[in-house]
Amino acid sequence: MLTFVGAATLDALALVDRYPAADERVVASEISYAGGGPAATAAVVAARQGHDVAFVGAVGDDSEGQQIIAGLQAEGVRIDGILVVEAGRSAASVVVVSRESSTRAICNRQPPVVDLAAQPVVMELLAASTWVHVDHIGWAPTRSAIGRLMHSPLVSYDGGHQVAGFSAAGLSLYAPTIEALQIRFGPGEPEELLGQAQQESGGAVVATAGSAGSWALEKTGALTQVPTFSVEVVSTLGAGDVFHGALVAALADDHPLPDAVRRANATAALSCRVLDGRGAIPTLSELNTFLASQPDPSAASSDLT
Amino acid sequence: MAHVRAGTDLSPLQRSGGGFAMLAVDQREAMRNMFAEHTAEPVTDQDLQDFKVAAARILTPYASAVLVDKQFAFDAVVDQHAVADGCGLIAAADHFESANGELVGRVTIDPQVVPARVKEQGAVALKLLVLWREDEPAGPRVSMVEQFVDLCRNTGLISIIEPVSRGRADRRPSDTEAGVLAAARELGRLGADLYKAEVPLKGQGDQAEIRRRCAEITAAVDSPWVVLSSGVPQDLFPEAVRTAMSEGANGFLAGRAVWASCIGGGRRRAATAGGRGAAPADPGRDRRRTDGGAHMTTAVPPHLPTTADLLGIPVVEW
Repeated sequence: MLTFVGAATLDALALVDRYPAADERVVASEISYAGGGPAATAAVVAARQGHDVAFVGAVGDDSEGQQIIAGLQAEGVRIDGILVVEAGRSAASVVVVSRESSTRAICNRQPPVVDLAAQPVVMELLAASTWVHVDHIGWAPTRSAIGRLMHSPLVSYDGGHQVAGFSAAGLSLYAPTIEALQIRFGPGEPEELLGQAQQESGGAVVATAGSAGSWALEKTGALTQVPTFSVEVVSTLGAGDVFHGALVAALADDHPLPDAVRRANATAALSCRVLDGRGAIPTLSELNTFLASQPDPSAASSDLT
Repeated sequence: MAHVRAGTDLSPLQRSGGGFAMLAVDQREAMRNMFAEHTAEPVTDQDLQDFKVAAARILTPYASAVLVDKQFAFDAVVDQHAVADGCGLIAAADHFESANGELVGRVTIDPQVVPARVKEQGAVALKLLVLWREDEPAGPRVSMVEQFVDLCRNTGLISIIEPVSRGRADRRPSDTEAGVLAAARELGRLGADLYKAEVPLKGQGDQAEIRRRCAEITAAVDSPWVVLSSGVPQDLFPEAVRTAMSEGANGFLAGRAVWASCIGGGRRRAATAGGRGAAPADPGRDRRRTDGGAHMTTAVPPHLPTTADLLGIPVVEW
């Protein structure tokens, strides 16, 4: 089983040609409502690609919480690790996506505070997992909970958000963006940055760089640059979260790291075909069909070591 | 799905990564006695206040929170803006009385500490010391903790309890180390937001046994917990914190291990205080007194900035 710990949100999304200025109104070409949150979206990916998946996180006992739970349940994600907080307000976002700048602006309400590690059901799920993937919300409680387990699962961390004081020590997979590594370690070439990250973590490091693709540094020290795929992009919202879910799913299926990153790149690219982060996540067969239509990966990726 | 009550947001006391690296300067008569060992002159309330304010000013840039007592220093620390931005302020809500031949022999909730008032002054949490003795009944301890937790909840303050295992009231021999664990089982599930525990075996001896006992505290307490430093030799405290954290503790709330060695260390000039961005000490406040050639600096702890390194103990490693 794969367990994903962290944020689950309900997002209101608007696709506009350009952002409105203060006191201005612009016409949205599309408005939709969808589930989001780094860990929750990653969980949906792994479930859609055939894994037994649990999500652990907190929602409020409000209508947004009910929709978040229903959305995950509809994807086949186990919801017994979701904590419904009395009188709490669920995490939610308002997201405006601009075609002109290919960027998005997000206003976010944080999830309710609850001690996830104090819940027996959470400890049971973590103990039964082969991999646990956490985001910035799930990091601290997972670290605390895993310290109490007899046998630790493999832990993957979505390093896209900065958590001050964070240490990657002990992670099996540390997956930040190149930008996040530059903030942590200062300016440097990708191979240097990944090397520094691996010195800290001791495990595999995968860093994404948007359209420039991803770099994968295996535990053995082998570094590979994996290019991304070309699709018609509507919105990159949630693409990083989708990437992480697909990466953990592929590693759990025993794909070698460079191949797992290629599968994650493809899954993330395909998810960008619609406004929300989840609507176009491919199933396993859709992913395999897409990959089969692409050029030979050995010609597309470059082993840098 | 599980339906749960909202947890208290502990982030005002935590580093961003979730760990607690907290400083305690709420010691009272015990601190006066520590000073008195280095001088023949009386140690005044003002001496203690000056030390606490200076310690807060110099150390809070490194700490995620600081604990101060109302009796000597809380108002002064607030009035003099001695707490660094980003460091949570905790008010001690316990009143100490001497009893059983001990300086702190009886503890009650201090009526002088008005939760709403200290909250207005910037406190985010209250702390209550609880004495645990095997020959005293659990009822009064439990009801005091429950009353304290309610008080904090009603005011929107974080509740911290600090059970301390003491010898029997009738002075017969007892296993105070067993009391550390018994206190956690008795008081660790009464709703307090944070539990402050003694380091098992005072951090000395069989490390495996210390680990086992820390794991027992983790299992017994249903909130995050941190260790205190009283009783642990200063040089062993960082390792004791790491050991406790590897078994589920979430950091420390420590006083003596951070500043005890400063007391009586007046031969070192306060004006040399510095390092790692610490606020420079004000030489004008360096009131030195002489006792047969032994100097004591009460106003400005002379080497607190170096002991501040202790607050750099990593609290966020996996």
